[in-house]
Amino acid sequence: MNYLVAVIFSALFSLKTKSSLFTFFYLSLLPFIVFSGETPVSIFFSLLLGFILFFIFQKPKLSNFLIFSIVLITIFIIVKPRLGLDMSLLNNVNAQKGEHPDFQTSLVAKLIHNKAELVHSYISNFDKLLSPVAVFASGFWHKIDPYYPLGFLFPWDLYFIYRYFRYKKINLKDKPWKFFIIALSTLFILSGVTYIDQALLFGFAVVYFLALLAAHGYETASKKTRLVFLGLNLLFLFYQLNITSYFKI
Amino acid sequence: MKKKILFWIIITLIAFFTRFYKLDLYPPSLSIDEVSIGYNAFSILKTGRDEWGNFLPSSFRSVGDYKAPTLIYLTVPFVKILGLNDFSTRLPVAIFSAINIFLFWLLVSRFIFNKKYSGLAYLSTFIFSISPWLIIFSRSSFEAVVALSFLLANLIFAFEFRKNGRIKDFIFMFTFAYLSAITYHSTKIVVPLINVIFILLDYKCFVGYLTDWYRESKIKLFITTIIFIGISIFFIKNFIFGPGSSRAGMTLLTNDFDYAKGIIPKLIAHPLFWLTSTISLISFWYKRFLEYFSANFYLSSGLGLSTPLWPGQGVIYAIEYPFLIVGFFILISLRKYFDSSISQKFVVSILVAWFFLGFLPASISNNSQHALRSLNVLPVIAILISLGIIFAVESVKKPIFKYILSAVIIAGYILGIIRFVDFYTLHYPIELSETRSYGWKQMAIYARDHHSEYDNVYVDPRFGSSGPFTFGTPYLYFLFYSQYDPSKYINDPRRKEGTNFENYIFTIDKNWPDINLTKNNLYIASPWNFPQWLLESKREKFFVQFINKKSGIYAISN
Repeated sequence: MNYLVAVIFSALFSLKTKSSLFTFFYLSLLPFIVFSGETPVSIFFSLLLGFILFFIFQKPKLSNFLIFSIVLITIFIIVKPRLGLDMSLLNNVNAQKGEHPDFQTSLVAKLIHNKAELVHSYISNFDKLLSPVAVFASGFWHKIDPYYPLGFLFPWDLYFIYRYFRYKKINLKDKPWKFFIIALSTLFILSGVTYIDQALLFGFAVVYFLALLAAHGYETASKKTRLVFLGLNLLFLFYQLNITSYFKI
Repeated sequence: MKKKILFWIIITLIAFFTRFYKLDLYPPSLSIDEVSIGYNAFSILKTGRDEWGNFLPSSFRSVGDYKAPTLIYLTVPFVKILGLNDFSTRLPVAIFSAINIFLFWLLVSRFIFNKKYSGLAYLSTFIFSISPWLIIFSRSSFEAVVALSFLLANLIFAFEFRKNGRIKDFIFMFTFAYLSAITYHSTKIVVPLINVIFILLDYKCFVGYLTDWYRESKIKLFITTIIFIGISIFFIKNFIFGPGSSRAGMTLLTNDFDYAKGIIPKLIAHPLFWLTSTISLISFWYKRFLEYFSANFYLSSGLGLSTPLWPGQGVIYAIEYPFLIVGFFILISLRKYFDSSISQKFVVSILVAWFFLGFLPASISNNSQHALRSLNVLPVIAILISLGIIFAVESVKKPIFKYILSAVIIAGYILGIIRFVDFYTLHYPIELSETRSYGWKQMAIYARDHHSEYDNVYVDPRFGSSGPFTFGTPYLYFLFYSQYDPSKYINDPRRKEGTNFENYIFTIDKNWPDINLTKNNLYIASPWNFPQWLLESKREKFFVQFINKKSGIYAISN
């Protein structure tokens, strides 16, 4: 079912951006869709948000941003996100506060060891989903196996995202970036502060956005290169499927 | 001119307070590496040999980790002048750290930044000087700080050579490259790569210089080539394939716990093990490499100044992080900030290569996010942060918003510095002093003053509040703080089999609960070595409590 959702979105994207067949195949075979185990609804929302985010990035118009906001509010109503910050962290913060010899009165203790330290929990959650290492190398770390490294996207997609920026020559001064920045920041924040299963929904939206950039990056390469990478992507998936089944998850 | 003087006064004050002030007290207790460096320098001073009796070795066997030689030799004059103590052992690195600030200034002001943006050189030097990443390693004997000095000197001469093509600069360039490479294991990889890229980026220019030298003086070129080849052979023989390589071998990625104990045992029965293990290793390296671009390294856990999983200190101040990201994008997209006397593209390429290659040695070794092994990247980080700040301030048009932004940045730095000082001087000693072998110094001093009162002094090298899992090297602390004559230690026949000297016996084989209290011995060990009744009796002679008060080290006799 997840795969069907991905195929529909891939077809939609390929048609809308008039991309080659390679883009369709690439977007249909993304590792985070193949391995995630998320519900089809969750995957649908992730891809939808990522899809709209990409078009805000391409055309940062108010109308695109409004669509994004409506979809996000709808998701909020359906999913009802809960705060997923590690509240036990507060115990550690208090323990550190208590390490001050006069912590009841110490200004430094009050200034440094307070609820603002919960940001460390946010950073930790964010890193698990959206750091470069999670996206390209080990997002499924601990989910598939305590040690086995497998990213949400293909490892070499990083290079093709670079190619996208290298060849598209984006002029930062041309566009009203505020809509894109607000939309992306919202997803970043939600990925870090919500409960991990719900955070995946928002995190995967950003991952899909990156995949769409990479898809465009692939388009800048020659047909031969794209074919080689299509083969490589397939090999990668088969290899990982073999290994993960071997690991008996 | 006045501004420049004021700037250097401020930098000098920063250097003094962050590098030299209370150097022997913070961090508490010399680490195992520090006592080893100190005692081996003492041994070289007195005998010309290391603790194992090797004459002027090119790598120090020490506790089996084959330490790089440079720092130990550099410590010798300080031990000679100031005696063997905590301060003299730490001083060389602190001095090199202060020199680093000046070298960094020379590099960025002369070769990196466009002269039109002179503020960038001042700002980046300031950021470099207050960097927590550099400060914590400057206050302990870490070879990486000295290696960084040589790397900076290497690049200064490399740029100078690229500009003028003088053979003198080329000789200095490769001299400092080798010095950096033999000083620390990480720079063995980074320095050659950066230098090769430096030459390859504009190899036509290099070939042109070579042709000029050939025309000018064939003999000079011949002698330079012979010296270059000779030093290279010596370097490769001793530091790549010699005993100096053993430490690198010990810390390779293949020995990483997650890989060696986590992945490999599961794959071992796979029919295509050779393939799966190779692909896993590559994927694992990729993971380790990309971990250096995660936010937690920069913001919460990079320096590890607190208990793991507790709030801690990243390698930069929190306020710097957004500017670091902006700075990176500026680096790859806007060249106007860079020096054009050689070529802006060339400068940018070198910085990009340095940024990515700098993390390479740390990523191919065990342990993730190793701040010390990646210290050589710090100059680029300081450059990127300053670029980000200047770009952000420049981008804000209205003066009132400029002031607000500047005020936010300054407030962020003040808060960040207070937080760092709090973590470094209060929480780090309390939460992690055990990892620095806290307690062995005090016990060594006690034993030095009382060991002659006993037939034997038994010492268990295992210590720690969690049980007999951490092995220390107390013999080095006992040697260091008693300033034991190295020639006697080297020539002690027991040295061949172990670390015992005088009436000290370092052993884990002893059945500690059954110690014979009828004999006139002193037993130095952790609480879990002794039966409770013994700890509660009045046989305790001395007790060093850990700063976290969880446990300690006892000296007990009859």
